[in-house]
Amino acid sequence: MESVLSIKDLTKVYGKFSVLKGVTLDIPKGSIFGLVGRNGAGKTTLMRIVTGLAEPTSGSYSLSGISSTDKKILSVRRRMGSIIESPAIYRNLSAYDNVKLQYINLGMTSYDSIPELLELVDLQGTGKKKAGKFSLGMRQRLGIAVALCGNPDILILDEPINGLDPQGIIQMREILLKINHERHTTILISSHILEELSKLATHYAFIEKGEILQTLSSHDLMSKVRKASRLVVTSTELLCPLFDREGIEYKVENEETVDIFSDISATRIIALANEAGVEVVSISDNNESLEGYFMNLVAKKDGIV
Amino acid sequence: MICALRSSLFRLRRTGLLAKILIFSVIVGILLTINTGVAYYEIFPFKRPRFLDQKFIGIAVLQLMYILPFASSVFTTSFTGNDLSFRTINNKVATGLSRVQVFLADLIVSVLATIIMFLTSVLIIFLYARFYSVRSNIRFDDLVICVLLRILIVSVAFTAFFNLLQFLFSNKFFGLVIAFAFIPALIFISGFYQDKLNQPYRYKVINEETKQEEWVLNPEYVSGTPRKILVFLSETAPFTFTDSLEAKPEKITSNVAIAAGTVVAVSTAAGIAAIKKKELS
Repeated sequence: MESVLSIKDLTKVYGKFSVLKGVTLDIPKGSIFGLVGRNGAGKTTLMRIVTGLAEPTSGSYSLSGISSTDKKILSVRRRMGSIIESPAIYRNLSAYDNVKLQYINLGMTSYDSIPELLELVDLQGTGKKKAGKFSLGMRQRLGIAVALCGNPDILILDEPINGLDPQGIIQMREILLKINHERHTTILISSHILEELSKLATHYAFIEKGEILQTLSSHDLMSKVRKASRLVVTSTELLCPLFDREGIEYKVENEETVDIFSDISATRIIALANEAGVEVVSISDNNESLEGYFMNLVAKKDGIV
Repeated sequence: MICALRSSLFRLRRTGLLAKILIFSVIVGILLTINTGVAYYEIFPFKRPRFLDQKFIGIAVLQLMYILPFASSVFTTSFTGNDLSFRTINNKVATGLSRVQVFLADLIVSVLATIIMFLTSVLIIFLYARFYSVRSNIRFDDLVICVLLRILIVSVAFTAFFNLLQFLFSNKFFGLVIAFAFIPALIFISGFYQDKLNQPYRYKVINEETKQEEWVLNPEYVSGTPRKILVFLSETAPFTFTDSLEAKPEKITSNVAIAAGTVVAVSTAAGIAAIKKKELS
């Protein structure tokens, strides 16, 4: 799959402290890429480097195929929008003027599309009201509008739902999905609110202490964390053909253990096991939350599990 | 560079800062005119002065020297400081404008604002002297032009330095506090130079034994090369206006221009180095 942003062996060291340790990532075009990690894991530093706000200690990245070491990177950055930590907006300017200013920064001379952009983030009626008088949600949405100026190929958003109320979170989610679906903008988004991220992301990378623990697609992640009944039997080999026949979704863990994802009663499972001539040892719930999955990853890294 | 400059100029206009500095400059011009009239010409407000000449302009304008640096420090805090404290500089850098371009654009607009404040205030003073007095003989002779140039050059140097302070410190008010402490310190230094130079070569004392007056050399008097250095420092110090300015205005103004140019060059170079290395938050 074509990558909009490729990061290779990126490290960042402050004094004796390594914030990023050889991070390598590929952000597929058109994806919503969730960067998951605890506070201090290195998410913001990674995003600050990619947006040019900080320099890496070593390693490189490429935007739309142009390497960070190439002088052309400055012009390629025009195809990127970002919000790092909190929206960077002039509080003494209106929403319209904030967006217009970013148009000027980008060298754009036509401002006809500004009303459309403000409508996209639901700020069309704010008139001359200064951004300093906006609510946090409005400021976040204005930040998104500023980041979207020039219709970028990739949007980099660092914790965009932090501090928002539930309504603001829903509104933000809908805006991001709309941007991704209608404008085909690739979004790299970091958050530690995993449940919310799971409603958006198509791909994930888990980061801890400056290292990428795992990257996987949403489909792969969901199959790992969704509701399952864990069945322990004497032989999965004999039982699985019956599951296939019945259209039951399952995943074999080992010769004796299988996770069943379909909504099926225990009586039906036992009946199928009897038909296959297999003895059922136990049936139990095997539900793992996104948070649980992430914490397990972290624990494995730390050698706790 | 054009984009960065257009962006800074747009901000100057749309944030209302341009209107604010214009209003401020008009008020300053009026107040300086009234103050000069009352203090030096015994003209009372609302009473038309009988005669005004370029000396009036010179005296009124001289007082600008003490106001413009303070105004400039407040402006750079509101303009450049906001760009950093609102983190809007990030938007510029992230969209591919180089850091140097961003720094220079803010510096140029800050200098432009200082020039606008200077010209507006001078214009108000000039208009008052020219049209409000019963009779006027306004000529911009060499001395007045040198005073005007000196104030403008020094104010631009201050602006460049204050702009640098904003890029050096993460808290914009820290830069403002330093600027506000720096200006009185320079005024004090200028006074110190003057004090040293004004020391008499010798003075009279009464001899305790003879009860006669006699001349003794003043140990505080600075002579030789140290005096030459002191004279140079005094003449180039921003807040020193000595009699020698009247005697050799062009020479002193060119010395001040060299000193101010050095301040601008060093401040710009240091600012560019700082912004290049700065980790933007």
